[in-house]
Amino acid sequence: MATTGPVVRVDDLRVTFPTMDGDVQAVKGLSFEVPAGGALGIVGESGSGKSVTSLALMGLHRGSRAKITGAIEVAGKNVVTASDKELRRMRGNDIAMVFQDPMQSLHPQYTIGNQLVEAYKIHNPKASKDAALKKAVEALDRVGIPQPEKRVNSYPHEFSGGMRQRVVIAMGLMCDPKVLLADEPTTALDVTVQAQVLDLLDELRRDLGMALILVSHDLAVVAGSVDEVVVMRHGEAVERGDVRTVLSAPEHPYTQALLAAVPRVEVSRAQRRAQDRADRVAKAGAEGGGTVPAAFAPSADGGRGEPLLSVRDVAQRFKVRGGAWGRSTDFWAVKGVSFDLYRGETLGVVGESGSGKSTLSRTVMRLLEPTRGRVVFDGRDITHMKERELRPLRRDVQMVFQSPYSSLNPRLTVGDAIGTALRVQGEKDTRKIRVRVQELLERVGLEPGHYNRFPHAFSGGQRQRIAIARALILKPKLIICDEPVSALDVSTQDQVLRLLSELQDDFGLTYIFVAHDLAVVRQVSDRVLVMRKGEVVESGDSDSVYENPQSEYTRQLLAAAPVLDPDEARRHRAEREMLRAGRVA
Amino acid sequence: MPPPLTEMLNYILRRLGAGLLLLAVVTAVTFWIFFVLPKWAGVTPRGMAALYVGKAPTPEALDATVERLGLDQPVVVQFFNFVKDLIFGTEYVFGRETVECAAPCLGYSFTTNSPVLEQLLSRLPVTVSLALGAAVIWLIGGVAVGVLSAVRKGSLFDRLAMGTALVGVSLPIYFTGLLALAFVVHSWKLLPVPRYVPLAEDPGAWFTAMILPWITLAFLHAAQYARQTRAGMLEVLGEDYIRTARAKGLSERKVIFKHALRPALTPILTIFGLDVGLVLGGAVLTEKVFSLKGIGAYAIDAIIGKDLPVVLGVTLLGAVFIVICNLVVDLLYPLVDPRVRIAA
Amino acid sequence: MRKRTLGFVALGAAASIFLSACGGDSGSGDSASGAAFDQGSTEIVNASETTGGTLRYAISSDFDSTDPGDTYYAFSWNFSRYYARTLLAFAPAPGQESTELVTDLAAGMPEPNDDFTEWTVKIQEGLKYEDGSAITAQDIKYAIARSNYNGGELPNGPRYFESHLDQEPFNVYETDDPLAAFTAVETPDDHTLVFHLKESFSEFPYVLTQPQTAPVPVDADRGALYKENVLSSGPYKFDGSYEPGVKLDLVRNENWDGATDPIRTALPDEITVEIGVDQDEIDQRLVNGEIDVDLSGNGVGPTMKSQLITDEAAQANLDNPYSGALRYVNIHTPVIEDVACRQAIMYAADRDSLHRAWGGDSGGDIATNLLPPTLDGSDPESDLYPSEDNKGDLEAAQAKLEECGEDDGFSTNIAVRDGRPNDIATAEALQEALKRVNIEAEIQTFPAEDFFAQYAGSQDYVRENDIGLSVSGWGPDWATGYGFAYKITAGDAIQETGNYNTAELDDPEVNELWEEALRTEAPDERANLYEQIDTLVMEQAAILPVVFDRSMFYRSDELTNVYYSAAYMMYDFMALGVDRG
Repeated sequence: MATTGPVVRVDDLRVTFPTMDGDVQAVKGLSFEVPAGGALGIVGESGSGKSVTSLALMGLHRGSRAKITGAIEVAGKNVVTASDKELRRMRGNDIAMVFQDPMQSLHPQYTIGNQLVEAYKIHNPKASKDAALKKAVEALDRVGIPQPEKRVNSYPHEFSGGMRQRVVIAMGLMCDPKVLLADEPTTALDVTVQAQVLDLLDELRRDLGMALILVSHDLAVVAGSVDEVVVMRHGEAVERGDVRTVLSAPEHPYTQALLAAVPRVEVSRAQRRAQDRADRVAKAGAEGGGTVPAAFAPSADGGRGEPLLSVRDVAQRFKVRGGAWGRSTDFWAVKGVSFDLYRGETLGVVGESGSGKSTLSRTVMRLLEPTRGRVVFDGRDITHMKERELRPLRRDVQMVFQSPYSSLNPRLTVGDAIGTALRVQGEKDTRKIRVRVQELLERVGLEPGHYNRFPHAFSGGQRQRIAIARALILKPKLIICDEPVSALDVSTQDQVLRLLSELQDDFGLTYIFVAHDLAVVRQVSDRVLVMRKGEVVESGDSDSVYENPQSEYTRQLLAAAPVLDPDEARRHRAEREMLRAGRVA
Repeated sequence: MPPPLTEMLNYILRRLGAGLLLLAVVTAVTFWIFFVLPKWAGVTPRGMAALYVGKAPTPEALDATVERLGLDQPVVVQFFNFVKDLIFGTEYVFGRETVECAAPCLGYSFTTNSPVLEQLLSRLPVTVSLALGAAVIWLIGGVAVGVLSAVRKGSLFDRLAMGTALVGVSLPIYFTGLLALAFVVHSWKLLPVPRYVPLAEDPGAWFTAMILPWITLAFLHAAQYARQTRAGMLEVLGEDYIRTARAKGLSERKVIFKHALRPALTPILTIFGLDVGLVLGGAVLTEKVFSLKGIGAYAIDAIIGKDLPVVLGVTLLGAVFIVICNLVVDLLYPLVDPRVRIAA
Repeated sequence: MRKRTLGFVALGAAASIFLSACGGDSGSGDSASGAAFDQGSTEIVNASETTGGTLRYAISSDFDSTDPGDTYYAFSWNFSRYYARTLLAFAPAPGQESTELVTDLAAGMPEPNDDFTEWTVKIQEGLKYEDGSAITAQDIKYAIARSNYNGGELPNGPRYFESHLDQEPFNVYETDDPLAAFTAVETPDDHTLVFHLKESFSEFPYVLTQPQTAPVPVDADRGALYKENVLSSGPYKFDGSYEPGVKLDLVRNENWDGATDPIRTALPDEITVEIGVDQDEIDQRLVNGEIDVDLSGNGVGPTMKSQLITDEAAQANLDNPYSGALRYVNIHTPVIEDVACRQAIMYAADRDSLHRAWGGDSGGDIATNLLPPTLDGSDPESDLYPSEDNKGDLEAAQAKLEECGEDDGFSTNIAVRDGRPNDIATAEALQEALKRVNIEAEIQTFPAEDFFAQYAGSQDYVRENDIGLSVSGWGPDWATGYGFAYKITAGDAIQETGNYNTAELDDPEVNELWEEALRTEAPDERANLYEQIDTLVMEQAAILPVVFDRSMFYRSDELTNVYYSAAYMMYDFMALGVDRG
C-alpha cells in the first residue's frame, strides 16, 4: 500500500463538554495518523472518548456545546477550523462514516435508493438522476446486496440488520471517500453477520484503497482488520502501535488487563474455573482473612441423581397478527427442544437473534405456557400448572436479565428492590430482611451501605450485581441468566462472570446461561445447546461441542467468532471466504 | 410498497363495515342517553312532550304530541324505527300533506319540523369552510412554529412561542373568540362583522367572513401542533439517521426539512385526521361565538332544545366524519411511513 | 302568559340576567337625536316618515314558529304582523295607549250580543294576499280552526278559541270538510264572521288580536311545514324560505294596500332576521350599529347591561320599561289551609331580601300587589302586609300564627325549578325570613320541564308531599287583568296536573268577580273589578308577589319611530324605520 503521507492526522485533540458540574474533558490530547489506504483501530471501553473522537473527525460536534482544540486534518483540510460549508463538502466526500446501529442509521421513510442518490448528488450536483441511480446500484452491488437494481427501491425495514449495515457502507462509498470511519459497525449484529461486515470492510479497503478507521470496544473485532491500534482510556491513548505488537505484547497494564478480560473461545470451562478459583484464593490470601469455601463440586457423574429440570419436546407458538383487522398467522419460536439439567450444573444456550433462546428460557420459567411438550422441575410437572400453584415454585427459579438499566425500578431503593421478594414470601421482620439484604450486597461485591441508594447511582456492572443479589435472596435452585453480560464492557463482564462462578461454588447453584457470545458461553457452561430458528442444532458437553463441532452451523459460528490474534483472525477470514465460496459453488 | 388494489379495496370495505358498526353503537348510545337519562331524572313522556309544545298545554295536547313523536314507545322500538327509516326511508304526514323522506332519512326536527338531513347539508358548507380553512392554518402555522422552536431550542423565539402555545392551549375559544371579535371587529373595525357568504357567491366576502373564525379556531389547535411538532422534531433530531444525514454533508435545511420533518410529522398526521374529523362534526364553540350557522351551532341548539332527531343526525354525521378521516389517515399512513403496512 | 323568547319554562332565566345594579331612574342626557333616558318607554323617539333601507333584526334563539297559527312568543306575535294581518290589533302608540284595541283586517270593532256569547265582525273588502288572491272570512275561520283543532300538529299556540268557542272537538287534518265541521264560527258571507261562545266573554276582542286570526286559505295550509313560507297578508312577504336557526328575510309585498291598514307604516324596504347570534354579540352589534333591533325583546344581556349603565354617553339610548311579568310565590291553599297561616307567611316575608334575590332595583320593582303596573286596575301602592323597610312584620305574623293555632310555627316545603338561580335565591330568602317566626320551609328543586306537569302543578303531588309553597312567574297574554290573572287565580282554571293556578285558589268571591268581568263591556268598569280581584287574592294570601320585572333596551340612533308598546312589552316593530343619514 502506497503511503504518501497521512490522509488523517489528529494532533493533540481535546474535546471538552461544559456541564453544570464544570467542564468534562472527554478527549485529552489525542494524537494519531492514518496513512492513505491504511487502517487504524481505536479501542476503548465506554467513556473512553472513542466515539467523541470519531464524531469530531466528521465535525459533527458543530452546533453542540462541545469545545474542540487541537488539529484534525482530513485529506489535507482542517476540520476544526473549516467553515460549515467546507465541512459539509468534506463530509461524505472525503470521509464517510458508518455508524453503530444499522437499524437506526437509515431514514425509515425513504427508499435506500433515494438516500444513496442524495448522498451522491450533494457532492455531484450536476450529475443526472440516472447517473446517480446507476452509481447507487453499483455501490449496492459492490457491498454484496443481491439484485441491487430491484433492491434500490426498497425501504430500510425491508432489509435485515447485516444488509442494512451493507447499505450504510454503500452509502459511504457513493462519493469514493478517502477515509471510511466505522464506529462500532458490528456491535448490534450477530457474530456471523459481524464477520461478514468486517470482511466486507477489509475487502473494500484493499480494493478501493480507502483508509479505514475502525472504532470498537472489542479488541477482537479490530484485531483482524487494522494495521495499527490506539487503545483509549478516559480520553487518553494509553497505548498505540502496530496491532500485532499491541495484542501480543501489550506494554500498558490497562491493555494487559483488557486483553486478559476478553473471553476466549479456546478457553474451556474447566480452565476458566480453575483460574477463577486460584485468583480467589490468591486474593483471599492477600487480604489475609476469610476462608475460601471448598469448591462445591457437582457429585460425580455416576451419582447425578434426578435432573433438577427436565424439558421434553417443548414448543412455543405465537399468534402473529397481521394488523388491526388482519388474520393472524402462527409463528413457532421454539420447535421441540429437549434437555435435562442437573443440580450444580450450568447449561449454556447459544444462538443468534431469532434462534428462540430467549423464548425457551421464558418457557422454562413458565412465564409462557408451552404450546407443546413437558417441563418437569424438581420432580413436578409444571407444564400447565396454574399461576396460583406456580407461586411457591417461583422462589426456586429466578431470572437475571440483559439490561441492567431497565430491569430495576428506578423508584425503589436497592434494598427494597432486593428485599421485596422476601416480603412477598411472607417475611415481616424488616430488620431481618435488612440484615439478609446487606449480607447479600456484600456477597455480590457491593457495600452494605448501598442499601438505601437508588439504582441510578450505580454503574451497569454494579446494577447487574444488584440484579443477581435480587435473584439470590430467595435461595433459588435455578437461576436463568438471559444475556447477563452482553450489555457490559469487557472488564465488567469478566467480573460479573467471576461472580456467577463464585456463587455457584458457594451455593451450589444451577444455571441456565443464555447468550450469543460463543466464548462466554463456553467458559461458563458444562453443557451447551446450540440453537437456530427454534431448533437445537447441536448439544452436548461444552468442550466437545467447541472442539469438535458436528454441525455445519456450529462450525460457521465458530469461524465467525472474532479472535484476538491478528494472524489467526486473518486465517479465519480466509476460511470464511472458502466456506462462502464453497456454498456458492 | 403499496398493497395490491384488491387487497386495499378489501381493507377499505372492511373498515367501512367497522365504521357502520361504530355508527350503530353511537346511535344506540345517543338514544340511550337521550331517553334513559331523563327517565332516571324522573321526566315522563309528557314532560318531554312539554318541551315541544307551547306554554300551559292541556293534557290532551301533550298526549297528542307524545303520540305524534312516539315518545311513549319503548326506546328499543324507537331505535328500531329510527334505523329502519334511515335505511329504507319513510313518509311523514304534515297537515294534509304527505312528505317523502327518502333514505337516508334522519327524520324531522321535533322543535322546528324541518328535515334534519336537509338542514345538515345546508349547514355543511359553513362547517367545511371553517374546518378546512382553520385546519390549513393550524397545520402550517403550528408546524412552522414547532420546527423553528425545535431548531432554535432554548432561544428567545422558542420560549416565546412555547409560552404562547401554552396560553393558546389553555384559553378557551369563547374567550379568544370574543376577544378577537371585540377588538378586531367591534373596536378597531379591521374586519366587517363576520357573516357567512358561500365561497361560490363571493370568494372575497367568504374569506373576510371566515378569516377571524379560522384564526381563532386555528390558534387553539396550532398551539397543540406547535408543541407536538417541537417535541417530535427534538426527538427525531436525536435519531441516528439524522446524524447519518449530516454525515453525508447535507445542508442543515435539508436535514431539517427532508429528513427530520417527515418522521416528526408522521404521528401528527393521526392527530390531524382526528382533529379535522372532530371539527367537521361541528366546531361548537367557534360557530357559536362567531354566530356561524354550521353543524356545531345546530348541534348545540338541538341539545338545548332536546331535539332528538337533530341530536342523532349531528352525532351520526360527526361519527361519519371521524370514521372517514381516520380511514383516510390510515390509508395515507403507508404512503408517509413505508414501515406501516395495511394489513389485509 | 305569553312567552318571552325562551318560553314560559325559561321565564326565570330570562329575567335572571338582570343582575347588576341599575336604578331605572338614574342618569339622563341627550343623544344625538335629542332623546333621553327611558324616553322610548312613553314617547315616540326619532319620529320620521323616511322610507327605504333594510331593517336588521338578530336573535340568539329562534322563533317557536313563524306560522302565525303556531306561535306563543311575544316577539313572534309582534313580528308576525309584518306578514300576517289579524282581525284586530293594538293601537300603534307608546306606553299604556298601546293596550287599546283597533281594527286591522276588520272593517269595524266586533259586535257582541247581550250576554257576550256571540260576536260578529266584518272584514274589509278588497284585501289581497301576496299572490293577489282575495282574503275571505272563510280563510280566517280556517286559520282559527287549524290553530286550535289540529291534533298536536301545531302545538305551540294558545288555545283561547278552543276553550271559549261552543265547538265539539275535531281535527282539521282528519276532516274532509274542516269548514263545515267548524260550526262555532259562521261565515254568512265572504266578509262576515260570527263567533259562538260557550259562556260570556267580554274580552273576546283581545283574542281576535292574536296571530291565529291571520287568514290561511285551506289550500295553502301545509301543516307544520306552512311556516317555511307563510302566505303573506301584510306589507312584507318571505324572501325565500324561513331557515330555522339561520335566517328569515322579508321583502315588500306589492299586493298590500297601505290605505286599508291602520297600524303598519311599512317604512323599510327589506327586513332581515339573523338567527342564532350569541347574545353578547347581538348586544355588541346593536351598540355598534351593525344591527338595529334585538328581536327577542328581552333587552340587552348582563355583560352589555353592566357596561351600559355606567356609560354616561349611552344613557340617552337606553329604555328601562317593565317586562310585564310578575315574579311570585304560590301559597298552596289545600296544603296551608288556614288563611291566617298563609297571611302569617305574607307578613313574615322579607320583601327587601326577596327583591335582592332578583337583583335589586335593576331586576325590577318590589311588588306588593298582584297586577303589574302596566295593566288597568293595578294599584302598586296597595300593600295589605306593610312593614318597616319591607323587612317583614314579625309581630303581625306571630299574631296570625296564633290565630290559626300554630303558635310555634309549622313546617312545609318550597318547590323550585332546577337551574333557575333567581328562583332558588327567592326560595332561600323566603326560607330565611320564615325561620324568624319558626316556619320551617325546606327547599326542594324539581326539573323545570316537569315542574307543573308533575310536581308543583300536580294536585296529588302537592298534597302527598306537603308542598306548601312554590316559586313561579307569570306574564300576561294580553294587557288586561283577565289576560294576566285569570289563569292563576280563577277556580275554573285549576287543573289536576299542569296546573298554573298553582295555589289552587278557588274563592267564590273571586270567581264571581271574574264572571262579572266577562259580562262587563266597559273597560274601566272591568278594571275596577280586576282591582277588587287583586285585593281579594292578597287577602286570601294565595300569592306572595315578589317583583315586577324590568327590561333594559338599547335604542339605536338609526332607528326611527321607536316606542315601547305595553301590549307586547317591547318596541312596536310595525312602526320602526331606519334612517342611516
